Amino acid sequence: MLKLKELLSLVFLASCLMLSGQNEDFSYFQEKYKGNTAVNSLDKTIVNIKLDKKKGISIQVEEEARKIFLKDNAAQFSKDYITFSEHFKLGDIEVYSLIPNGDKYKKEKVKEFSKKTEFSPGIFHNGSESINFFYPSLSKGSVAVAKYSMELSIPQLMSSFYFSSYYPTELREIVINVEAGIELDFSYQNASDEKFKPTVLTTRKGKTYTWKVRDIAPVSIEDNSPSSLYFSPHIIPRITTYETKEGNVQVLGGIQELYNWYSSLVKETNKEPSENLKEIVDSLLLGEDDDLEKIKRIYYWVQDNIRYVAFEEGMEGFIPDDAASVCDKRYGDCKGLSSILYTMINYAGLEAYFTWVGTRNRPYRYEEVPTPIVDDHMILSFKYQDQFYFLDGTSNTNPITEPTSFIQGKEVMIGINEEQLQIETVPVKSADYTKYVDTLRVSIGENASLEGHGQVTLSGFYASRIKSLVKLRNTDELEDFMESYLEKGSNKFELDTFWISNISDREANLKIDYKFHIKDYCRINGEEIYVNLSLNNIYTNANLKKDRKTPYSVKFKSSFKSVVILDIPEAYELSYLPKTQSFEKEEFGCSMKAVSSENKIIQNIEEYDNFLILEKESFGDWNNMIKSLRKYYRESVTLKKV
Amino acid sequence: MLDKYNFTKAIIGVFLLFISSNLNGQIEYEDYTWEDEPNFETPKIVGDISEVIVKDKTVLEYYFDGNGFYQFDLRHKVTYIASEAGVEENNKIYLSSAGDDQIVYQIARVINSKGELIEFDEKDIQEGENEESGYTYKYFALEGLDIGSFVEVLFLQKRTDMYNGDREYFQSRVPTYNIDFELICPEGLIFSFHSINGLAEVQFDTLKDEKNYWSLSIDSLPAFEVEELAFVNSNLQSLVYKLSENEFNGASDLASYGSASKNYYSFVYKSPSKKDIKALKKFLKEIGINEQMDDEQKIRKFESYVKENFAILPYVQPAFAQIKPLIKNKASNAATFTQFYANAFKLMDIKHRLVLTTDRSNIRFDKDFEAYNFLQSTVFYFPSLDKYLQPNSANYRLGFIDQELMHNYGLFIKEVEIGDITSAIGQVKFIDALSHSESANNHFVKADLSVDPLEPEIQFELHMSGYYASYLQTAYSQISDDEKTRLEESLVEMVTMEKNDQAELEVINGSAEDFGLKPMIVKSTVNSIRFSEKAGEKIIFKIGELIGPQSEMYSEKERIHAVESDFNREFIRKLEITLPENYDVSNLEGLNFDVVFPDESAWFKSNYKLEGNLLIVEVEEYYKRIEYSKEEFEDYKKVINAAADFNKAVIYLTEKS
Repeated sequence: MLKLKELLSLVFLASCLMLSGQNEDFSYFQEKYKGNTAVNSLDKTIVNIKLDKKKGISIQVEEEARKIFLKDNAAQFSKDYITFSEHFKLGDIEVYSLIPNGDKYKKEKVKEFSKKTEFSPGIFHNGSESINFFYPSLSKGSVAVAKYSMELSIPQLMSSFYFSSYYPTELREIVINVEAGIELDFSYQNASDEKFKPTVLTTRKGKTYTWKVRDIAPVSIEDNSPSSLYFSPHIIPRITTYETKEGNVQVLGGIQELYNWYSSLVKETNKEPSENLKEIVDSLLLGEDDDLEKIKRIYYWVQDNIRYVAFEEGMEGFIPDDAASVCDKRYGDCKGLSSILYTMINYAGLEAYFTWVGTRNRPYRYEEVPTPIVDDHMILSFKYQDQFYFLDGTSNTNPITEPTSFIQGKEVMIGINEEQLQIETVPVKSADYTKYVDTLRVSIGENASLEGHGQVTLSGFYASRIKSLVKLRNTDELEDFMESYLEKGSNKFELDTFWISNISDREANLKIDYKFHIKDYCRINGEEIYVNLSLNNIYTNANLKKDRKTPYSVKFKSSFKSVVILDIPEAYELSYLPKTQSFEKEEFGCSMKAVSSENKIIQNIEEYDNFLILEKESFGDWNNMIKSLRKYYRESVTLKKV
Repeated sequence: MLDKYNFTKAIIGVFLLFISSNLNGQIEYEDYTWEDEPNFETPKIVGDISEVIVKDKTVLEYYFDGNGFYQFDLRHKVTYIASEAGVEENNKIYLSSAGDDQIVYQIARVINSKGELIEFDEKDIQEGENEESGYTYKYFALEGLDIGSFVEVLFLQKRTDMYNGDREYFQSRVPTYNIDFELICPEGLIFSFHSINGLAEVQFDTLKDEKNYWSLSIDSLPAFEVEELAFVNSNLQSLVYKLSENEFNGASDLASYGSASKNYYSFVYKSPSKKDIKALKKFLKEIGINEQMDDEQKIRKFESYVKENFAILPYVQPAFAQIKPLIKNKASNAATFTQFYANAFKLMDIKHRLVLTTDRSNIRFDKDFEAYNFLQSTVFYFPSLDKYLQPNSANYRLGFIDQELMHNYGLFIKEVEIGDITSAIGQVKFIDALSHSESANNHFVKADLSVDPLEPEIQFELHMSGYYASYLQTAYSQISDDEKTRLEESLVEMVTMEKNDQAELEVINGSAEDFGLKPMIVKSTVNSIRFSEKAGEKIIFKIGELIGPQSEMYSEKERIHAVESDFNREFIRKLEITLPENYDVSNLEGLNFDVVFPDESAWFKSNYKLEGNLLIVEVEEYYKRIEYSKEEFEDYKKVINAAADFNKAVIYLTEKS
């Protein structure tokens, strides 16, 4: 994915300029923010956007972060760093501690800095670096101050500005000075409230936009939240046009301008196939006439043979690598993978398109946010019988009909040709598409064990995900993985054998047949045996806390079905069956049912999650469903000696 | 932990001078390279293996080049890629080298499944640096890799300070074939070797052209099998080597613990300046250390203040690596903190020993083979208290140090006075693990089934001490209220295995000063549907689950490694269940357990008593030994699994007719 690190670097280190030399009043902060470890007393960003008749736009950002510490362990926060990269060049830095000294503060400047290459998880190389230092002498009441400036080399890459951070913020100020002749536009995210409206001062020289927001709560960090961009207030500025003697220059006025810029970058990629690549395509397509089949063969070959390695340095973050080079290397990032797919498909005489998309981490639409912030990923689109197929080279087991789960429901920008684009939406797969079905045939064995065999059938995203996990494991690892993946009943579950079918067939459901036993599972009480048939008790701990602040997000819609068939042992008869129950809403629901027929008991539990993000309003219903599931899970069938 | 720079400086002391006739000898493998047309044999893959190392050649050659004494470190490794996982594992290569070391060259190539050679372009190498650690990185993604490829890497470094004790690994998580190790040095220098975990012995090969040659060749080593309750690194077949004699100047017994003790003593106590000591005296006074306090009070007061108010940084500039700037900045590196603590104890007149040892999960301290790679971590020992203290970890207080540093030998450095001169002597002694009762995770649970047996009110009291409390108790007062709530909830959820909205929470002894003295107690009351099941009119109460989830150990395969625990521990649980009046209770006999390891070093015992409608179950689980041989494993496993069995215990409640 593209340039995430760069865009965030400014955000998380956002800071501000000291106002009129006033220092923090510790007792005020201690009282107001009791129970916190630190507070951003002031967080200020000044952006100066200027027009140089020769060089064009220049953007300079000044940051100042002031953080006051409220506990004895302030020194634990001594170490800090500022990240930068080719596009965000670091200018002057001034860093110091303010140490309480009676009623006043004593200033202790940081003089020693050291440089470090930054590595980000999952990204092989992104060219970002950091300046590291430590704040001297921090104690309770101390203030850590960091001031620095950054020069932004590409006007299109102006970052978002956030209001909240990990700590509570007393005052957040953002000032954007823009010279006359440059037009700015803003997109407001989670910031419709009146307090996020800027004051605008217009003079002959230009405009100044100022935001001053007080008392900002920290960003909530909770499990299974959507990305914080969904709820954290921020603004995304963009330069739409600027004037030159030759006339107006379009920068990011709208979708078309964004596309023009992207298109100019993709133009630099060599799209000619190498001899080697031609040979590969020729051999793949030998004897195949159907267009969709042809695409499939190419797509699956790329999935099988080209690995995903993320490079994001400099313009590599935007310009796809040449197809021939990706083919020789056998690896590429998302753009490189799209590039090889593009060249192969076009060589095959079909038409495919470079396509930009924001993963579900980015809650934006192109219309609202026509800047590179809107997206962070590249795929390839192919149109067949009036329907678009979205090929994502970073996946390795998705069938052609399945987009990667993390772009579902997102808008894509399809580059039809150098000038023309088309916005489409990636379909969201239904709950029925991604299904986990487990069918068990069990009986009661010696020493109250439960034994039998089962079959798990996985479809949709479940199938793709497990196929790719299975592929990367050797036999021992696979046994361990399956043992825990199939575990049910209790941790005395033991997997005796298993067979997996359709691992390499992308379009077929994955099937896992297995034999197992669970020692001491059944409960014998005199003449009675109790057997809890809710062996697959998913969601036992899925209730959402009442004080949860953020929505609940899942990777895809899904459904679940567990069928358990128990043979009633000879000389026993059924004496109790749990009552049928169900709970149905549009977004989710479940049904639980047990019946007996001849010498068998058949229990059926079904559940569906028909949502990607669950909003707070639905938490109550959700918890009711979980509770009804849990209540059902604790019901055992009773068998009695005849 | 000392950083490399300070460690070397502190232990090695003054560099010993060599007088050698062999200044301009040719380096044996200087022109070594890979073959123009390699022809590696595809290994026979037994079972499903992701990769196989088919060649692992290491040459270490010591030489003088007029400026100094260096180690020429050549590595030539070929890996066969047998699976998709092998491709993922090997398609990115990271190499790092420490500050003074030079990478002479590094080349890599792929021989793909079709036998095509894919050389790799210098321009694709990414470089990184960390000015703080002094490390530089080179990393690159290998091109053209597919299943059936060989990855060949040739890496040559010129290194310094590599003769006082270092370790070579020969075994890894994948099978290795064709292992060759050679150590070459000028005649007159004698190296000694110590093979670990069954590795074959290094042999003296020959003396030719005024050089000594030692070597070790092994056809194959199996992949290391990972097991529960056994460390990986410390069990790998590997080699420790060091320069032990220099016949040029008659020095023998080099890299000995005797000289390490003197040098480290001198670094810790003699290098701080008068200004440093003056600042330290003033600091001790300011934090309230006085003559009325006994040794333990002084130590606790000092340690507590320093660990709460000061920070250990991975790196500081040399100017800040002194006691006076440490006090002023409230931060410095680990080595300076060691000096700071040691001199403070001296000023407070507290008898103590500096102790150097290893992390036994990485390598066990060898009491017979002296080498400086065993001197990795510093702790203090107080003979009068028989307690240890770890200056570089804010998570412990007096009495507790990293568990992997205990149950291990260590070098105890003691100050000696000879006339007016103070110096030190070293002695290797065993650092005993703490007893089981010092690390307890005890639960006191009261469940009231009298009102609603299907959703009873349950009071949990979790008493945690020692290693179960260290990260909680020492940090608790310094975290925010939100973090406290999350922490408390997660502790209770670890037992109840459910999120509970109504939980009332209370913490007792939640301050760092209590650590090691009083258990941290978390009290919580919840109403839960989790512990009761229904079977028609009957209620199944899952009483065993009140002790929290217990792991079950399986062993279908024969045990390979000895058992080695992190620390001794105890779990005491008292469960008090108020039964509903109108029900009969049955299945109580399933609550009696008596599983004891033959020497009584581990056991799981439980018994119940019924007093009216109050059912009381008492459980005792102990682990008093760190190590068990693989032959003892089965009996040890029985104790562990007894807890898992108890966890499944249920009682039945039947309505009285």
